[in-house]
Amino acid sequence: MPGLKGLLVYTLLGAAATVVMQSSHATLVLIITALAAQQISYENALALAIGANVGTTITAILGAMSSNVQGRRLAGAHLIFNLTTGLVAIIFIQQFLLVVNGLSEALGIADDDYTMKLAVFHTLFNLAGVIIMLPFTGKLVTLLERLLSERERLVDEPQFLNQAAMELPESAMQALRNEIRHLFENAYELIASALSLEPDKLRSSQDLKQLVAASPEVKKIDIDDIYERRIKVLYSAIIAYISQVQATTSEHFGEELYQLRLASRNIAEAVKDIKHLQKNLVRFSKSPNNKIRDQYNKLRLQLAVVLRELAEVLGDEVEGVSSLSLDSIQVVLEEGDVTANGELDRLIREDSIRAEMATSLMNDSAYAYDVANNLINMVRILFAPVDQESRDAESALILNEEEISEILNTPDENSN
Amino acid sequence: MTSEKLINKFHRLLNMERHKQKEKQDKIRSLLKKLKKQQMVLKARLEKGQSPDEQKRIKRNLKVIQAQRKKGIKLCKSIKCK
Repeated sequence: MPGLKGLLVYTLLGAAATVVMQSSHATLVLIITALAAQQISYENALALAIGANVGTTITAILGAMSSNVQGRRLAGAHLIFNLTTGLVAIIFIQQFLLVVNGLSEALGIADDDYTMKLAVFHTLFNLAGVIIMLPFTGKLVTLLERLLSERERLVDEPQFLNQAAMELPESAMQALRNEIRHLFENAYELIASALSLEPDKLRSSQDLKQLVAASPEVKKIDIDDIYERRIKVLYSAIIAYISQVQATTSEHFGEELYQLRLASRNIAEAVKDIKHLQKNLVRFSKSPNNKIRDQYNKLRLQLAVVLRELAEVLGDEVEGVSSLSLDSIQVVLEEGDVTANGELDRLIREDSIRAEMATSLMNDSAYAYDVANNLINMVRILFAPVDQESRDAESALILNEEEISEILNTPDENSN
Repeated sequence: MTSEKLINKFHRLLNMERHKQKEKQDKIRSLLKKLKKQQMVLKARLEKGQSPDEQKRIKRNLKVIQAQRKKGIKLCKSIKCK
């Protein structure tokens, strides 16, 4: 079939054959065979090769169906790349033929050796695709990101817990650690939101006092809903995975599994504590009494400091020292304890706050303490060295309550 | 079991205990080195001049590291004496 009509029909045929066989390689073998046997003309073979190149994107498209957004974007890029190259080749087919003939002559390929000429065309065609598309890579990325935007998943899913990781106890342990870290990230965002603070800003170097002051009114968020969608699903999956791993591994990993179970429970408890705290945070952030407002803002600031320090410890990950760095956060906690530092007594004595406000503050201070403590304990478990000896050495250096209160009573000058 | 065999067994047991103590001492020493390094980094940051809040934070961390090192050194010495 000659002319443009033939070109289009054979291109579609090539694409269809490749879609059915899911292999452009197989289509090309068929084209070469048919061309060698003179079943099809040289022009028809070129059109089939163009079609095969477009049809080959089906493999990536099928693969991307069950993939995440990045995978779908990659398949989209593949389709756009091959489609554009195919269109250019069809439009400039005559020019392509001239170049192929010129190159074939230069390479010593005989005029009637169409199979070799087809190979030259195919090489040239792909090369042209690279040359045409390379300057537009950035634009292609922007287009695909706009077309295939990352939708926020309503219900989070475990990212690391899979059956393959369960094959070896070590990989199962690592998968569990990664998933607990994932759970922690979700809890971190939830706790930050409950304090009316942006998680990204908490992780930055922005002044925390200013951050707290910038959002004086705490807005209520539906913690139960977020807990169900972003915490409970992961927490349940982790617990189920631990039980499965426990049944298949030796007792040697029993203690570690127990600790990991404890770490995920710490996260869940921290979320429950912030839920209790949120009620009064919202209520007293609107109070006309500026003393109680200040106290609740201090609680927010204290937790903000803890969250920032935790983010730093997790970002630092210097082996062996990270876990010990948590003692500094413990000092922050003790420093801000309104019951222990006499602040609460002073406020009641001065009649700055009512007795019922004081009891609420006392309870909420305990909740804030528990949130922080649970997170600290969780990080301690997650960052504990793998071998028992290192773990023991590290535990031996962790400061106890007495040593921490000694630090609180030490003037700054002595810290050389 | 002859008394000689018993003594040998006891020696081996003592050596094993000593080996464990040595291992623990090495681990603590390695931690102390890391803490010292971290202390130097923090001191350098403090000297660079930071905001009052950051200064407070660094000083607090330095106090914690100092206390941990003191505890570690004491522990190391006690293991050596055993």
